[in-house]
Amino acid sequence: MGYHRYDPDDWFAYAGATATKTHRDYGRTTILPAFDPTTFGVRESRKSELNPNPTPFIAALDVTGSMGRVVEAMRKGLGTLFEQIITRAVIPDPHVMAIAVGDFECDRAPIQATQFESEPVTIGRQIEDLWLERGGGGNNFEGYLGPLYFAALRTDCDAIREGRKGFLFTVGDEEPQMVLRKSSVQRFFGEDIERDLTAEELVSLASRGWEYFHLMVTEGSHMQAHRDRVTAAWTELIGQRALLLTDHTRMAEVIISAAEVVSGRDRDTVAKSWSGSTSLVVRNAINGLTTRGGRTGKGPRVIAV
Amino acid sequence: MKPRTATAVIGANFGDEGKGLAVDAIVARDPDAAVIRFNGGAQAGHTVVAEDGRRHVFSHFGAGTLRGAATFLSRFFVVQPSIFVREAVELAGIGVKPAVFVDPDAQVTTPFDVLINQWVEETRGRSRHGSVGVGFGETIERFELGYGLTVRDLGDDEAITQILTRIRDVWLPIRLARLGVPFTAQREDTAANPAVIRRYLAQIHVLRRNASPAPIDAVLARKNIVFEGAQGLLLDMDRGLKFPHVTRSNTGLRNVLALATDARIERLDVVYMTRAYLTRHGAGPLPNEVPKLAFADVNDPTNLPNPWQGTLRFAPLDLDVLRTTIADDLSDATTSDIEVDPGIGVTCVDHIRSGADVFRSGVETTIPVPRLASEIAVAAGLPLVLEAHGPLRSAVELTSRNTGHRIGRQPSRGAAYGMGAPASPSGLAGEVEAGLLPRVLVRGSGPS
Repeated sequence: MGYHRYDPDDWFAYAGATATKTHRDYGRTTILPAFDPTTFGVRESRKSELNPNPTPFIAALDVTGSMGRVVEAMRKGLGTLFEQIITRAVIPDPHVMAIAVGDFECDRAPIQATQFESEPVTIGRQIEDLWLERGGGGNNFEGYLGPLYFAALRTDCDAIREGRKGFLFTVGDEEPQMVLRKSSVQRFFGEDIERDLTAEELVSLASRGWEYFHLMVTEGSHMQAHRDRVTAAWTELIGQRALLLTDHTRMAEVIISAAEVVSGRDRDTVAKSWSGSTSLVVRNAINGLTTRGGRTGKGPRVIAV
Repeated sequence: MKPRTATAVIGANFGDEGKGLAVDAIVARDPDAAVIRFNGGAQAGHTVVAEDGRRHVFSHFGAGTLRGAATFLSRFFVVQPSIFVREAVELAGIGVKPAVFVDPDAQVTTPFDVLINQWVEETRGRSRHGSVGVGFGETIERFELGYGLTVRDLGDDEAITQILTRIRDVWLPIRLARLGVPFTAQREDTAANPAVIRRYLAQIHVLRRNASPAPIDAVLARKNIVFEGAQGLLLDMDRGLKFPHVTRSNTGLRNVLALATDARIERLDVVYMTRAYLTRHGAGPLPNEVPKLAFADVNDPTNLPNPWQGTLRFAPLDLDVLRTTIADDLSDATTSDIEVDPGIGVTCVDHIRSGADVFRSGVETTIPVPRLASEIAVAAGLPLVLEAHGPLRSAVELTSRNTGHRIGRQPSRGAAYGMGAPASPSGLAGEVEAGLLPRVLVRGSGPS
């Protein structure tokens, strides 16, 4: 997938037509089979004439409990995501995929993956087709490890074949799981693996092809109640790659900024490149991030603000 | 019938006075409105928070856009295509499709102006200017020296490419040499990359389809005409606190009067905006600066303590400076046929704990919150027409002096603050007699 090119006017038309929608209007009551990882092999991000240097981005969004509005913020921010990546010209030809992340213990479809798309309208329509079960929450079984497994083993990206990394973001308000069970992989990916995989194993597996970040949604109820615990757990796992997202409506800008910093752009310049309060949200997020730093574990603690 | 009256919102200080909030409140009175940007460019950042939680920082569009007001970008406004598109995309994401008209004579920023900005900042390194870096000043400089690109030129890609090529090949080296910024091989490559012009043309196409070139008449069918200022009087290029720490535009009445004359407007309500304390972004002089205001809790939209991380600087208000700055600006009105009726708006009153320190006649005194806005108005010699206790429209009290009609959450509270009445009739007359305010001010002020 990904054989189109972004055009702002398409986005204006689509965003205008879906402006009054919220995540509560996503109509599905079962998983769309095409998004079910047990039904397909890999998701591809391929070079094309229009997108000669595709850069894959995965935004894996917690959809449990109240986190549905994060998915909707992602959908509404898609125009900004594409517009800014292309205008800023630091990272070439974005190919974006969304993953809805649920609860691996109690949800029926805790992992749903769209295609990689090269323009926001197609991906926006697919996001509207996600099934938001709104289950789970609060039990530490949010499936944040699912997207790591998916990115590592179920994607095939030309960029990664050529030695360029993609960008993988998980987004939510809870702590990371400690293990991805063999039984969950069997059930939700349709694959037999030898044993359970630990969080550390999955982070290092995914990090071979992906720059991995987690955005901690500070507005989320779990984060409000247990901010220190959540921050400590993520920092323990991925160090400075655990970023605070203090305003979920600025997720696109934070994703772009983090990707630019690890691509070698000066952190201060990146923060300043946004206007007004967006610049503050970005600064809060990338405060402790350094270029090519803190790939896995035991990094410096995130600076709490 | 075309409106004969309009309202102008002008910042009295260094910017960040709450102009966005004021424009939004004025547009809310009658959303059949047009907002005219009369100075500056897309480096503005005017925050508006809607009741439904939608929030937007307006840079290129008028701050009445969330309420459906049209925007007119006047000939004194510098068009920045990349920010226009960035903002239109963002607004689409919150369900807003702005109606925009732009004067064919407005100047347009090119990517080379932005590159110059960036390279100057890189060269300066640590002694940074605090410039926002969107190419605004560079666009003016280029235009003044004969390398202008106007909205009129944007109709044809080939013509644009020709002008851009000339700017890149002739103007860019001249300008960099004058600035003492090395035009390194790497920078030459960056500027020569055909993608620079290609991306720019793509932005121009979006601009073309979403902003109609038109004279000011295009928006005069709207009933509520609002002139929205950018930056503040203390940053005015002629009257402010001296170059290089000012902006390259007239931030006060001058442009408003010129445009109002074009539009055959006869009467102008002017609202001079100030926070209950003084702020400044970036470098440049700030009289009475303090590291932290002891009497205030400065909040931002994301409600984080001390969010500005040193980028916003603070000082107590100097009421004498406020009065003379405004009086200075109003002196432009004396030579105009337009009847000007000035008032003052005070925002961020909710940031003050119990009372705010101010300088009055060179002495620092404290004014308790309930009297704060009205005493600032008295000192400025103007009626208090707007008072804001928070970032939401519902926290703004707005008085219309002409009809005595007041809009606000708690109308009764206005009376307690002395809203709706001239701050001090005797004081105002006194200022006029003392020659601090032009006589024209007295006309039409006060409730009818």
